[in-house]
Amino acid sequence: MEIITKINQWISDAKSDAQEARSEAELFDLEKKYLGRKNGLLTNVLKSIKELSDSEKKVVGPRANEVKKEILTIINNQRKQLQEKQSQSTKTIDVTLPGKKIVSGHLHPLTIVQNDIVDIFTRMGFDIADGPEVESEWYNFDAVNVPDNHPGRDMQDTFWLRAEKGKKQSLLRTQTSAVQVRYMEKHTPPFHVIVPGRIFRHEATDASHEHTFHQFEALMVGNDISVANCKHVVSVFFSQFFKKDVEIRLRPGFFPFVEPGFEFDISCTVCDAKGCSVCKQAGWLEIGGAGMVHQNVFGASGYEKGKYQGFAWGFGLERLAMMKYNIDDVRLFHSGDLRFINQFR
Amino acid sequence: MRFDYNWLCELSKTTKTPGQVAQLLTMHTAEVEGVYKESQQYENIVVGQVLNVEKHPDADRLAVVTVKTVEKEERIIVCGAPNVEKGQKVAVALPGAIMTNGMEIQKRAVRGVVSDGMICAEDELGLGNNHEGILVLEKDAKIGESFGQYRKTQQEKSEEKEDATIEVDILPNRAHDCLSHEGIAREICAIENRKYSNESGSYRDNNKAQELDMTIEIDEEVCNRYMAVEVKNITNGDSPDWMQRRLKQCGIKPISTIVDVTNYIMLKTGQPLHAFDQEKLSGNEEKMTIGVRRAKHDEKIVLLDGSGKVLSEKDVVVVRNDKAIALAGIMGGKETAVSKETKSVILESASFDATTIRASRSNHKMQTDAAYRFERDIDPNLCVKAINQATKLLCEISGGVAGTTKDCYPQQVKEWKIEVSTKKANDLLGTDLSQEEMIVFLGRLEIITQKKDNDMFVCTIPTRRIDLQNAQDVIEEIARLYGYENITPKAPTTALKKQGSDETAWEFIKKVKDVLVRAGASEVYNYSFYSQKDAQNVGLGDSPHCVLENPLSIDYAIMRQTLLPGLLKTIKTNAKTFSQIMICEVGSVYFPKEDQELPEEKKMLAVAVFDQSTRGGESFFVVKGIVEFLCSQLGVDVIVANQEENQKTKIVEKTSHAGSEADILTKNCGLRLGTVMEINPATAKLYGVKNTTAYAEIDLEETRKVVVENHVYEPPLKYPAVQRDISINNEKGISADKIEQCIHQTGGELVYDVSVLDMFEDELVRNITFRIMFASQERTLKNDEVERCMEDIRNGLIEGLSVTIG
Repeated sequence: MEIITKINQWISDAKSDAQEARSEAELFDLEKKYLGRKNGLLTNVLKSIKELSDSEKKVVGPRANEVKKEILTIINNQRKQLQEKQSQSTKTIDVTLPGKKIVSGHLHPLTIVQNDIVDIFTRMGFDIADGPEVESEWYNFDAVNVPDNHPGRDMQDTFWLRAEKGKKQSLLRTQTSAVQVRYMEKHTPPFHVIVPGRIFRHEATDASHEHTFHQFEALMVGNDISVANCKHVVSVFFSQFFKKDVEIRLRPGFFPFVEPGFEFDISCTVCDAKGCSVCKQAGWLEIGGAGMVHQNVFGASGYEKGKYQGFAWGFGLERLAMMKYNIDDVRLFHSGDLRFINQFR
Repeated sequence: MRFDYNWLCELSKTTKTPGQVAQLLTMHTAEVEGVYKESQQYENIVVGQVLNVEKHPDADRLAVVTVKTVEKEERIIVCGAPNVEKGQKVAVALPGAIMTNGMEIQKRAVRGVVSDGMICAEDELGLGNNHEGILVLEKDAKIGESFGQYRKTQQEKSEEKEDATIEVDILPNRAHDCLSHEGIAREICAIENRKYSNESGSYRDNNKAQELDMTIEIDEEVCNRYMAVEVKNITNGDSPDWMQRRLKQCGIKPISTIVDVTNYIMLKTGQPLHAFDQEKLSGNEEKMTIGVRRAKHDEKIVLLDGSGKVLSEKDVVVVRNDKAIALAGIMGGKETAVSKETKSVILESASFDATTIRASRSNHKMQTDAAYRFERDIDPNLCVKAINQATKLLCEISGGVAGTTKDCYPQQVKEWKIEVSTKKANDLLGTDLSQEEMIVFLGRLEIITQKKDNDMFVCTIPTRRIDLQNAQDVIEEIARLYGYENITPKAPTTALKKQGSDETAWEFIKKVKDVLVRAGASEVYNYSFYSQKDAQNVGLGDSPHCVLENPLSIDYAIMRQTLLPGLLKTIKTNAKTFSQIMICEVGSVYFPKEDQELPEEKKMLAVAVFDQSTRGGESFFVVKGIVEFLCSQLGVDVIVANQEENQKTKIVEKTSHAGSEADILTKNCGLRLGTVMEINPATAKLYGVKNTTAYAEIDLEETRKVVVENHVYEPPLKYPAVQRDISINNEKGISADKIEQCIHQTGGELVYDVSVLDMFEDELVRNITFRIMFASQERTLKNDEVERCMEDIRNGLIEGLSVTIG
């Protein structure tokens, strides 16, 4: 039968074509030539079987299927060989060459630290409050129990704005505590809130002084919030921030808006309180101030005096960032130097 | 304030070392800023032995001395002391040593002979006033040993305590009673649980000194108490060494017996004193009136330091027969100042109104030890102790005799009472102390308590503790003595709910920064101020700014209204190191408002891109790309559109490269959120920026308002999309967004997406190739329907926009 001869011939054709194929693409074309769904030579034969006589069908049908299998095997074998060859012939590469550089920006280290802090507090359920950077004398000083002519005002050198006609002189806030009364005017205890923000002090700059820096303030007020609670929250916070157990130590301190007031130290995170150059052999690092909110501050917020109690505490972001990254010059933060900023992740 | 450790030991009877005392004070009273031991002062000063003394070849009074300071090492020192002799052990300051007067010893030639150090006299070592000759050390002093070590050994031998000063940071709450050695000694006693007893007796006048013919009249508004006493027959020489030493330890320069005694008693008790020269004060008049009153407008006085002051009603003066003799509480007058010749004085011990003194001294921009204490308010009852002790001491030292002390004290300050609840104290501290324990702690501070019932007790506050005004103040005292370290941390039990806050604003800014960083920008922080020149540079020269009353420099004189100058400066800073710079800043800008007390503050985002390697407008498109990426990530639909000529902001007009400024507008209502522009070379040059810089500034609050929170999911296309490219010759310079719009409109709803594939531009032609994607969610598109759409698009473009299709 003519057709049988033809399809038998395809086996040897396919074999020699396959052997000559140099790529998988060529093999794919070859497969398409014989077995392609639309116009494959064998496909067409199989499609046309129904037009043949019964006796022919019996011969051509099985043979065509056999040939189809055989060609497929030939192609597949050849494909395998090609693949093997390819894997053997792969060039070696210099794996020590640098990887493709990924271009990404960098957050400012203060943002990174700030984000860490906010995450910890919001996990503890704290609210976040914000207030203006240009503040009135009332909110920055009077309302937080620092009346005019109080020596407490000397503790913070202030930038004043030139007063316009008929207006009171405003100032650049010297502390995030300025937001305390603003928040309390609008909310009723119990609450707990943090205030992150930029503050200003009229100070000449050097490696450890800046006129512009950032503070964090936490305020927790209720009917029975105590010094013991303050110690708890402060130590939980720092343990999470430094990702290790941190001990805290309170000492007497003075801030007009709290009574009692204290300074707090944390056990040195570098030497674990054994004494090193970072903590000047003290084992402790001075980190911020805290205290029980002064009843006069509650009064200024419109609360009945004596009804609530709670703590406020604050610390400087720069100091924390400097500790975390071992930065020795506070001026770097506002230097805009990308060689500095690009180191943070 | 600096405290002399030995003095504190004498008053408090403590046996602790300077370091231990410092630790106690830090944990219970106030922070100790430093402990300075005497031995540390003697760096580079060692024990040496004189081997040989020869006359200086060129100077009669000088000797050339050979000294051994280390075994086998001899050094030549030129010395002028008459008492230098062979064999003596002496204190040798080596080159590099810094003496108490601040002088640094150097190796240098003295009249032609090189002197390799200095042999020290007593005063040079800060040990006394003697400058008659060098200090000769004990025979058994070890050659080469540091002088500090030598002193320590000597002190141990004579069972003296080591000299040290302790610097304590006394804050306003304890300035009433702790700016004094007695105050701190009391604290040490209270902490160590020992009764403080150091009431030194007062002067008893055995000799009948005559009654001072003097009346005192005070304005009670500015002065609570005025005491005066006359001391006669004084020899006003140098004060004794021990007193000078203590004064120096505390940082006060010894002057003469009279002045030193007043300063000494101030350091001891906290009460500032003043001494007037009695002869200069009394003049020829028989009877005198000493008064304290507000100064008159334009009243003048010359002070001790020689400075002339023009006074006002804000100042207070001490007057004699109505003539000002002192600026009260701050400094005495020159006219009545004591001198070495002074034979008799009027000692003043007074109490002035704190607020008035503070206002007065800050008006005159002065600070003195007296004013520092008065403005922090001190107990008027201290006056009497101080004047008695001073009188006694002065008479003992100078051989003087004192008269009767006059006292004008119309409104006597008495102890006051504060009621404290045991329960409330425990609630506030989170402790479980008994009432008895609390009472014991307070007793140690000389606060007398009376039990009212099982909860309440009444405290009687000593008048020196002006800081104790309410129960919370007293609770702090309990806590201090109990020790904060003994309070156990406890988790709060109160249920604390979120009450709604600025958290969303915070989260929004955090997201903005994150997106920008992903887009490749690095974040910088600049100051909130800039200069008037910066304002001018960016076209805001005549826009009213918030002006600082007391700027640190003219570079930071006004509050910024744009972040642009800051970012241009940042680019300049980095251009040396980086060829491509992509930076962003989120910060406030400030606009004064006529109808509001405070200025309006807006949170802005600025992005700047600087590229030294590309030509022309590419930076613009990088910034634009960042802005578009940001807005799409935030869920804000914006278009960046040409800026209408009459809508341009002052900043854009001044700083943008003409023709390359665009508005960032919300898609649905055209609200302007910000601008994108290329900075013109003139502006860039003002900041030393040489290459193309593009800049965008966006109002973040406005942007947050138009965020579409609900992001609706769109299913991926089920059927294959078909792409067709179309190349358009755009001779007329029709903007790309118009062409894109036209494609959308004429292509119908099967147009799924249009993007710019390629662009070619020369002087004659601007050719843009768009890639159009056709798709349907219902079916596979047929070739001919896509072709029909393409035909409509081509016709639309040719007819509608008169472009030719390439």
